[in-house]
Amino acid sequence: MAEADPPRSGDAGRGLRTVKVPVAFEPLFLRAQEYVARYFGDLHTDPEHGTISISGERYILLRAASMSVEFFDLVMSLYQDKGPDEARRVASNLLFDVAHAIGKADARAFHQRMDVTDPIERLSAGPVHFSFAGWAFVDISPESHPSPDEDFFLIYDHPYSFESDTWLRRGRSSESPVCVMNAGYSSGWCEESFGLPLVAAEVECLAAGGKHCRFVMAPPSRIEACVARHLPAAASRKGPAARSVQVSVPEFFQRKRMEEELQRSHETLERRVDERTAELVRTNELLRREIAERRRAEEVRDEFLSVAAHELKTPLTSLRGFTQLVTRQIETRGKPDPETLGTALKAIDRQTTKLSLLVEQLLDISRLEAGRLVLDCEDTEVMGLARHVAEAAQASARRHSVSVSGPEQVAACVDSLRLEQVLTNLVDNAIKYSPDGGPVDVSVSEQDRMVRIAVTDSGLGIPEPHRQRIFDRFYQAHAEHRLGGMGLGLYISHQIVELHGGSLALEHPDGGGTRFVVTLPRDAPPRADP
Amino acid sequence: VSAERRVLVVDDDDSIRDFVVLALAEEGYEVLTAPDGRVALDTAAARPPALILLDMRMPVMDGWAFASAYRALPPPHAPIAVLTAARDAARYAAEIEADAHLAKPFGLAELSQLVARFVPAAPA
Repeated sequence: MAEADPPRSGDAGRGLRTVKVPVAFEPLFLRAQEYVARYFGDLHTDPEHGTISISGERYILLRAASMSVEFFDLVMSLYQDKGPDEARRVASNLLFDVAHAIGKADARAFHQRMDVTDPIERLSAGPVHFSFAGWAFVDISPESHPSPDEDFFLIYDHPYSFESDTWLRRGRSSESPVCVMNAGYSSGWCEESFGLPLVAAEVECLAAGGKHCRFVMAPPSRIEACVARHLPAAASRKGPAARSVQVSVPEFFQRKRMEEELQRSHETLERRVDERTAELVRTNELLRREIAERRRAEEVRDEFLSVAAHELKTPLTSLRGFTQLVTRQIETRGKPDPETLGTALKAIDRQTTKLSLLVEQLLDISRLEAGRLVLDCEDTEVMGLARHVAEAAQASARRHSVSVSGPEQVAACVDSLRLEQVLTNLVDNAIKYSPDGGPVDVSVSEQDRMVRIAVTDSGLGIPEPHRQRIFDRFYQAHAEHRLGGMGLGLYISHQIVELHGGSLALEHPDGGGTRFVVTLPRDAPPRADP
Repeated sequence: VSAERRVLVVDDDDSIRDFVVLALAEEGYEVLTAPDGRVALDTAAARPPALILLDMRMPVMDGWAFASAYRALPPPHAPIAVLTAARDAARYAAEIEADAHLAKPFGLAELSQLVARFVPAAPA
C-alpha cells in the first residue's frame, strides 16, 4: 500500500499523506499525523521475548487473511447446517464486535495519551492510526457531517482495505461486503470520540464487485436510511456483474440484544403461561362449583321425589286398606262392623284432605314453574281471614293455643284464597314445628300502605345453617324430624307473597321459636300481563 | 293369643296403624303399635313380637336406627318386614337386612299373606 498515490489534498494538506479529509479539518489531522508518526517511529520488535512494542505499548501482529477470507471460510464450514446467510451473519457479527471493541479501546488510550477533548481532534488520530497499523487508508468525503449529535454522519472510503484485499489476492469474490472489521473499528473509534453510539456499514465493497470500499457511519437509529441513500444504484452497474449486493447493517453486540429479547420473550411467555394457568384454575373452580351445585340440585330433587312418594303413598295406603277391610267385612258378614266403619271413614276423610292438599301443592308448583300462578285480587278484610285460619287450625290442634291480635278490621286488596293458603301454611308450620305444644300468635298490624302479619311460635326454631335456604323449593329444615310435608309450603307461600308485591321474612324471637312476617301492600299489585 | 301370634307395627301414620291393627286383629293376631323406633324398642323388649312391620321414615327414631338398635338387643330377634313408600322398597329392605318388604300403598291381601309367611294364622 505504500506505493499508492497519495490522495489529493488542499494546501494545508500537502503534508497529509496518511488520510484524506475535508479541507477544513486538515490542520487537525496534520497534527494527528505528526503525533502518530512519532508514536509509530518508536517501534521495537523483540522476537526473543515474543514482544512487539510501539512507544512502550505492546502490539501484536495478525495475518490479515486469517481475520477475513479465511475466517469467513472457517465459519462457513462450521455453520454449514445453518446455511450461507446465517454463517456470513455470524462471522460478520463476530468480526464487527471484536473490531468495534478494539476501536473503542484504541481511541480511549489515544485520547488519554494526546490529552485531547474536542470531538474532531479526538477523531483525527483514528484514521491516521488506522493507516499506520495497516488496516486501510481513510478518505473522508466532504458530504460528511461529523457533529456530536443525532445528525452525525460520515461517508468515507477505505482504499487498500486489508479485508477486501485478502479476497482479491486470492481471486475470490463475496456476495456481500467483507470489510466488517474496518467498519467496526472506525465506528468504535468515532463512538468513543463523540460519546455517541455509532455504527458503520459498508455500502460498496471491492470484494463484492464494487468500485470502492465505501462506508457510511451514523447513529444506530439513522443507519438504515443512510445505507439506503448511499447504496450504489443498480442501474449504474452494467453487465453480468450487476447483481444485488446484500448489505447487512451491523450492530455492536447484537448477540446481547438478542439474548435480552430472548429473555424478554421468555418472561412474556412465562407470564402468559401464568395468566393462562390462573385462568384455567378460575375456569376449573367455576366448573367445579357448577358441578357441585348441579349435584346438590339433583340430590335435592331425588330427596324430594322420595319424600313426595312417601307423602302421597302413605294416605293411599290407609285409603286402600280401610276400603278393602270394610269391603271384606261386608262380603263375609253381610255388613261392616260399625266401629271399623267409623274408624275407616274418619281415616278416609283425613287422608283425602291430606292428599288434596298435597295435590294442590304440586299443582301450585307446576303453575309457578310455568309462571301461570295468577292472583285474583279483591278488597279483603284481613282480620277476619286471620281469625278464620286460626280457628280452623285450632280445631285440630289440642296442645297448642292459636291466638289472633290486631285492629278490629284491616282492609287490603289481595287474593283472599291465596292469602288464606299462606296463613294456613304458616300457622300449620308453627303447630307442626312446636311438637311440645304452646302458643301460636297471629299478629296483624298496619304500617302506612302496608299490612304486616306476623306468625310467631315458640317451637323448634330454625337452626342457623338452614336459614338461608328455608324458602328454597323442596327444602326441609327439619327433615330429620320426619314431620311430613314435601318441603313446598314455604316456597309456595314465599312466591305468593312476592306475587302480591310483598315480602315474607324469617325472624328469630329472643325466647326461641320462629316468626314469619308477611308484609303486603294494601293495594292490588300491578297486574302482570296475561 | 300367644306371643307367637304377636305382631308389632311401627309407623308414624295413625291411619296406617289403625288399619293394620283392625285388619290383623280380625285374623286372630295380637297387634302392638308404636309411632316411632324409640317406642318400638321399649315395646319389643317388654312384649317380644313374632314379627315386626317397620316403616322407615319416622320421627324421633327412624327404621334404620331402630333396626340396628333392635339387633343389638339380646336375642331372640323377630323377623323384620319393611313397610315403605320408597320407590325402591327392596333397597331399603336390603339396607337393614330385613326379611321381607311391602311397598306402600299395599292392600289387605298382601298384608295378610306377608304376615302369614312369618306367623301362623289362627285356626279358622
